[in-house]
Amino acid sequence: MLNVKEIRKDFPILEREVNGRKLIYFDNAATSQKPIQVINKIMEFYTKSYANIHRGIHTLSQEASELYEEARENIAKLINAKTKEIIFVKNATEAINMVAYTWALRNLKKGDEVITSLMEHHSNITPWITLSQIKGIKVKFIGVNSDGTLKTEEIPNLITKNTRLISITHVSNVLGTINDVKEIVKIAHEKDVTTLIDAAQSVPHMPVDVKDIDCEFLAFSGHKMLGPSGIGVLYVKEDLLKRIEPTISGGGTIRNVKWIQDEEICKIHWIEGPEKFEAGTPNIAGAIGLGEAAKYLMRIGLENIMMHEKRLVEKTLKELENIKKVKIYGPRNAEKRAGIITFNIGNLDPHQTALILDQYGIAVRSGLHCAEPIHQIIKAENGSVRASYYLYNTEEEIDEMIKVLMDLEDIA
Amino acid sequence: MMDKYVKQVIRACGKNADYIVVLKMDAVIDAINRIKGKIDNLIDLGGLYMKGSFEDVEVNVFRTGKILFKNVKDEERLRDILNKLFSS
Repeated sequence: MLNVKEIRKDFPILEREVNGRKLIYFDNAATSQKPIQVINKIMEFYTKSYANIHRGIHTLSQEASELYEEARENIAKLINAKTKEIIFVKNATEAINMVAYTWALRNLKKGDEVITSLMEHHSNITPWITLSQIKGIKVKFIGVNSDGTLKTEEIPNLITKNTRLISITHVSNVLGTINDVKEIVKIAHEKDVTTLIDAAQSVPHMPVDVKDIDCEFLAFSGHKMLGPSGIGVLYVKEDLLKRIEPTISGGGTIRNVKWIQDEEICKIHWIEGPEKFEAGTPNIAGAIGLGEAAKYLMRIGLENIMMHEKRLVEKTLKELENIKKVKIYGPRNAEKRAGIITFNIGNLDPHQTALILDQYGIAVRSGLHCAEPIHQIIKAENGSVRASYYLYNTEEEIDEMIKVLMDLEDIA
Repeated sequence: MMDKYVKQVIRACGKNADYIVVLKMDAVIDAINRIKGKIDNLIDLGGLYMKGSFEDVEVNVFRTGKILFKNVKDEERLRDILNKLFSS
């Protein structure tokens, strides 16, 4: 069990007040707060070791390079990947787009198909729609059951001889539904289909093992897992990474650029490792901060964090069910959902509910959560209220939210 | 006139065209006092927030200095409403 009281001491922001109340931060699916260890690591880097990485032969550059690569190692450990399979990007959105505009742009042709689902964040829909306009590929969608679970049984029928990629979320950022991505990857591989997992809502909250899942690509953001914003990760299976050429290139991505005088061309030889996708000076401090966040999460234990969030979800589901006018979206079984609870109350608009909670220092998100299709499916076109938990949240905080929601029952 | 009171305007996402107006911290009391008299059927809902209407728009006033305007055609219409509400 987590020692939440001790953990909370690592998060200075949790001490502050918002609107005269102690902050209750339930917007973790949007972004997480940062422990002092991550904040200090970034500060220490800027105050003691800052320099540009790679190829610099002076001491500071070597120190910075070591810290950057150490961060890559920690990220790799976190998801059981090899260090050379970890590409630093801006966030999960950029990671998915990178797959679309490197691997897919070069390998997919007109008539090829990409399968995604109706419970995706827009960032796992729009790149494929855009690519369909550029390349003439077809995008297909896996449906969602009324209980918020994925219609996994549809997948074998959706796959045809033209299907090249299944790009699917591990955990829905709206419903909290945990998809059986290992099973989906297995189905895909039986038909020789490549797989991309959007793990933005899973890597921060539960053990994720890329070797066990066996996917080719996996994307996640640093800021949702205690790391700084502006840094994220694209995991690419080693043999595939070697075969993909970058779309954004330049300094740091090439071994050499040779002028072939007879042919009057420049020939590029790419670096073999993940650096070929990290053109230009990367977010060095961000990566180092993210590496520290990964260390922090591994020290606490992702299994422990997952169990803690399940307890919070179970409690919330139970308490919300006592409020007659509350409509909960997504699986009612805490085993099938991550630490995300989405609901509406009576006739109250989700923004009204969120603004009322804000008066009590309770931070929740309202609206469509960048996932409009799933809101159409659950018939909440004007959005929903989302409370999303993390390792520093407590049962007492949930009690505070429930108290306010109970007061709302009379006016909803 | 609205610039004296308004810090930020947020277009809320969703099917409805809703806007959240964040008032300037030091102008909250003055701003709310000004608009109170102009909003029709203003009622206090259990001390949680005040709700009323102005012309064809629903107005929700929160004590944190945030106002939710529901079903506003566009930002131009919102500016028009805000200028009318904050004028003396």
